[in-house]
Amino acid sequence: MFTFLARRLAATIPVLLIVAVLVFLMLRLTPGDPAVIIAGDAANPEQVAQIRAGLGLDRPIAVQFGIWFGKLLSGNLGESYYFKLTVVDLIAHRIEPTLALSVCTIVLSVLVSVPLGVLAAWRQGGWLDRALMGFSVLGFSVPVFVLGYILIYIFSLKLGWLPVQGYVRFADGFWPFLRHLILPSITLSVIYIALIARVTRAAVTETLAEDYVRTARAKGLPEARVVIHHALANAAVPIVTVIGIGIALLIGGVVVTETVYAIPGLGRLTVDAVLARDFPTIQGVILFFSFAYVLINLLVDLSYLFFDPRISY
Amino acid sequence: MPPTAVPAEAAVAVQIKGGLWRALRGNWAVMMGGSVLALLALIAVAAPWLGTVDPTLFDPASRDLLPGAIGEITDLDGATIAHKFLMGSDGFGRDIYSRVIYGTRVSLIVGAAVALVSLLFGVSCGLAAGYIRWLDGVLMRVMDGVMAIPGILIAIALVALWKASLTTVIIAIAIPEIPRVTRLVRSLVLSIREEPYVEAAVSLGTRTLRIMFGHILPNTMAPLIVQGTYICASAILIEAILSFLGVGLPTDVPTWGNIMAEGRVQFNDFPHNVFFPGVFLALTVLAINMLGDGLRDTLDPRMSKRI
Amino acid sequence: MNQPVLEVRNLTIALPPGGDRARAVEGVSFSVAPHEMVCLVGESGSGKTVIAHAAMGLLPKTLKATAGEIRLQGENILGASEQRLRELRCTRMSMIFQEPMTALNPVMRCGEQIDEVLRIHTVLGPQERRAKVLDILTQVHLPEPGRMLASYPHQISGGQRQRIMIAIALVLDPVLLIADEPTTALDVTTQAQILLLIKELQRVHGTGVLFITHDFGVVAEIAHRVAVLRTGELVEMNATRELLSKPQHAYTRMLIGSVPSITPRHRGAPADAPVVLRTRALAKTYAATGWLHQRAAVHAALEISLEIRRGQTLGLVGESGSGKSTVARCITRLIDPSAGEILLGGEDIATMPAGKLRQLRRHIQIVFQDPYRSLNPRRSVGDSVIEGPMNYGVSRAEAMARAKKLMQLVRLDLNSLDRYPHQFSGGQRQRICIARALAMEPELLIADEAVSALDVSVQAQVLALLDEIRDRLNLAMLFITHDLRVAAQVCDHVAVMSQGRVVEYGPASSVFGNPQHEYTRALFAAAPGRLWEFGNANARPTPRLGFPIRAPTPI
Repeated sequence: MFTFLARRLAATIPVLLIVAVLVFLMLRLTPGDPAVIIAGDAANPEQVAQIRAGLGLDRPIAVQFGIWFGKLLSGNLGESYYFKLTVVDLIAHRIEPTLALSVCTIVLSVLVSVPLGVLAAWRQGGWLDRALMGFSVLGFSVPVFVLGYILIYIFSLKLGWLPVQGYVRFADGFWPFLRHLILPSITLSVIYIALIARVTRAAVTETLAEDYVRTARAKGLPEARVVIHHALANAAVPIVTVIGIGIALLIGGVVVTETVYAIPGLGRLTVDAVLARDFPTIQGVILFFSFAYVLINLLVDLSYLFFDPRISY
Repeated sequence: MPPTAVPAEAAVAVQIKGGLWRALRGNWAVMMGGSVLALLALIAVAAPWLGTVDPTLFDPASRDLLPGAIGEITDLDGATIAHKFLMGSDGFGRDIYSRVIYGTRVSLIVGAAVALVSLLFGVSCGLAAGYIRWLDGVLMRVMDGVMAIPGILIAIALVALWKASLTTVIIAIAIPEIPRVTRLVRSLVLSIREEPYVEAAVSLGTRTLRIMFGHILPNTMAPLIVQGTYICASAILIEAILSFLGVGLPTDVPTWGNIMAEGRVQFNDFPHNVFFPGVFLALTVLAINMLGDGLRDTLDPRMSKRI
Repeated sequence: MNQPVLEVRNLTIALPPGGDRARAVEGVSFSVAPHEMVCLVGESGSGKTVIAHAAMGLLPKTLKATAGEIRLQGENILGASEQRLRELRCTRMSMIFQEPMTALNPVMRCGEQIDEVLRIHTVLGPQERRAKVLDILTQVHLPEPGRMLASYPHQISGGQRQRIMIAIALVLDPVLLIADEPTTALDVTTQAQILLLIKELQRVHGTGVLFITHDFGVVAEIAHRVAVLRTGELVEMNATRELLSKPQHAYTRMLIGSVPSITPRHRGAPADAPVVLRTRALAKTYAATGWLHQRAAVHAALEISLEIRRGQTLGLVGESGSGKSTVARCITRLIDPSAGEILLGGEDIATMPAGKLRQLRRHIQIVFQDPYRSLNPRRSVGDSVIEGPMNYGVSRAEAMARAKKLMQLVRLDLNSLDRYPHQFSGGQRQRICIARALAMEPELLIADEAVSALDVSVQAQVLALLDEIRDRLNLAMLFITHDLRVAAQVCDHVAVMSQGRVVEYGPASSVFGNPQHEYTRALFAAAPGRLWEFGNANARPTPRLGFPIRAPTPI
């Protein structure tokens, strides 16, 4: 088990390194001079040169990367041009809403999509199957923000059941916290549900056609046991895999959802930073999201040990 | 015990026997999605003749008109003409209907271009990775790195940092899609190389390049076409999201995302700003996704297990 | 005791429209008594598996029984409710399947898979269930039952997995066991052990067994009575001895006649024909891999020294994993050997660089095992056949002319050249592959299990074709197979391989007639139906063989 863990970790490190390099290059290789942008329109050439030296932009690019990476490893992500806080502080302050929204969404999505997918596969060709497939295609097609506005229109403006926008911190009261998260979570989970339900249905359909399911039926086992302990148990790996990969979709959706619902989380921070050309923050947020994504997928990989006994070292 | 014929053969058999068109025509999703798409393409081409005005025209007197209202609009020469605002007007007095119709052009162009670019690069990288062993390790690590960064963040960052134009938007959206295509092509290459008929070609003395293009590539066409349609749909969505967030194409270019972005501040009072482009967007993406599903079921049934 | 365990009367099962025939099973009637082993024999498409599934109530919804009845100890199966069928399964009737690897749930422990049956069908407590499971594991002769309980299917061997399947089937002592080709996917030696086990368990429990197979050797070995099926119809049924020695129906006679005899034929090939290919100490080792996970070096092939002469066939015989396919792929340089020499007409091709090798590739051609994956589905047959010659500068017109002649040689229609692979059966596809190989005018033709995937009657035709081709074109042939009978029929010389090494090598008559090595003897002893002489329209018990037969030991 530990060799497996070590091996997966070792495979992750090059990926993280490449992410760091890519993020660094992305921002350094853009047209336009960051020093000029920071200095502003009113600056004279000496001030710009000063800022450039201060940022280390006059050194060769490999050295710049070395310096930047060194700072990264010691936990220093730089200071935001726009917000006048260190990037780390900025992220720490904004992480709670994003975390709350993401966790709510993931829990909701998995609880809804996996059973639906299993039922659709079991009764393949039935009304549930067709309805699910239709819903899935719709889920991929309606953009997150359009859906968000539709939901706000119906449930907040017309019916008045739920608040229109905004976020309440957990510490300020559980029920308001939850109320403000309901619409955003539903909005965000639609695409996630569409993806997971689709893959669940495909995976379970495939395992239901396998020989060991025929054996299970030949043993006279009740159908529920056959579907869950034999078919679903063997479909766990692809389903869990897509839950991990779908996090990328989730992150993209978080950026939009927080904008629609005015939630002060990391997604909103990304947009604000990009509009303000705030390089350190952009870098910091992208690095944070990417590392989180890689880590989550590492956890998914480790979960294979639990789901599939054939994987072991 | 003789094995039964590989299921994928049935798909090839149908194509060869009755012709590809017949197989496609028989699939409901292909016909439905394909016709809607064809209709939209037609609308895009025929935009100037569909009762539209220049989408950049505006008139302060015609601000925030509800759908169906008649108002006036100032054309390029300065003359004021009466005009029926089928989908209402926005905060500047621009005709939403015209903007939505012209927006079709942008969306379809972006979708098609992104699909083509990412397929082109993805296929090249995938073939290289599948065939050149030392390149495989390096290339796939880089692709893993790119895939580790959520695609939309890459797109947002790139468009924000380069000058926002049609080309940059297309490239920025295509870059995150390339690794997925590469992975797909690479895995197809690796699996098809194991097939006995490829081994037979090797012992018949066929050269590597000819094997690649004569045996392997034709058998990867089907999944690639399906993947291409999904990329097209995704690209149109992402372009809209970029515009909505304010990091897409400049606001004078009418895209559905732009219209919705500008209209969202007045959403409570004038939801038509968001709804009409939203419906068009959803319909387009839906049609392309359906087309993709239908193509997948017709051309390569095995893929429906992989998604 | 006099009521049959299983009674099938006039069973007719319809196929969905659009198939090649209207009914899968047509008016079939037979019965199985307690203590009796009845074999259902037939080629692919004969409907035998459909009958087996129908008896268990496992037919897919697309196949409907339109007439007749199936009775289990008098109870109507076709009309039974799903609930009743579930009650009967594993308690009164059980089924074991062909592929033990895929028939067991890979993520559930073996003990749990047996325990499930007890949990669902009985009210026994955990201790009693465990005792029963351990008991049945002992009955199927699995070593270390405690360890078997806790292992997963992928951790045990194929034979052990099949024993687990048998344990699952028999733990509740059903009156009927249906076995659907349970030994087809196993090695010869393992197959012999499983057959012995089934016979023993039948003796102990008094179960009636319906055994589905396509192998007459197995029939000869275990069946009390045999029913022969052809395209859904039962053409003949009789006690085994009678059916094998005095078959009445023409189809039965044809089938029995197609089974190759296990005594090698004497062809009288000249011993001084020129050597086409010789290997010296050929070896292929897969190195230990990975820097964090240890996988020991695997010696797929070691010290292989063979020679193949013009006009003769060398057989490479062995079970799966013996390394025979590895040797073939080394010789054709589809993989690179780790050591040794491969001398083709004097030149060593083992380490030849790709450029130079290409010129020599035409001299060695190979026909693979799986006819359904050996041809590019998107290319017409003609294009596939002419691809080879055109690689070496032959013009398209000339290559096509060659292809037409070859179609005649392999007895296929000329217009086959314009058709696509999916329009042909397995046997026809193998002929196409043979034609493709011959289009190169090779000196050596390798057949890598080329007939293993074919029905026995089709197999006989293809073997006859290969014989004819070898004689006509004076080819050298390397024939790889796990089937001793096939080897006996076509090979002049035989090399027996086990675990990567050649353990016995010599003329077929001596290897078959007087095997020296212990492994070879065990292989022959395990061949099912070895006591029967096939190859003619009726089989005869063989005369006393020249070497002692030892019963195969269980693992």
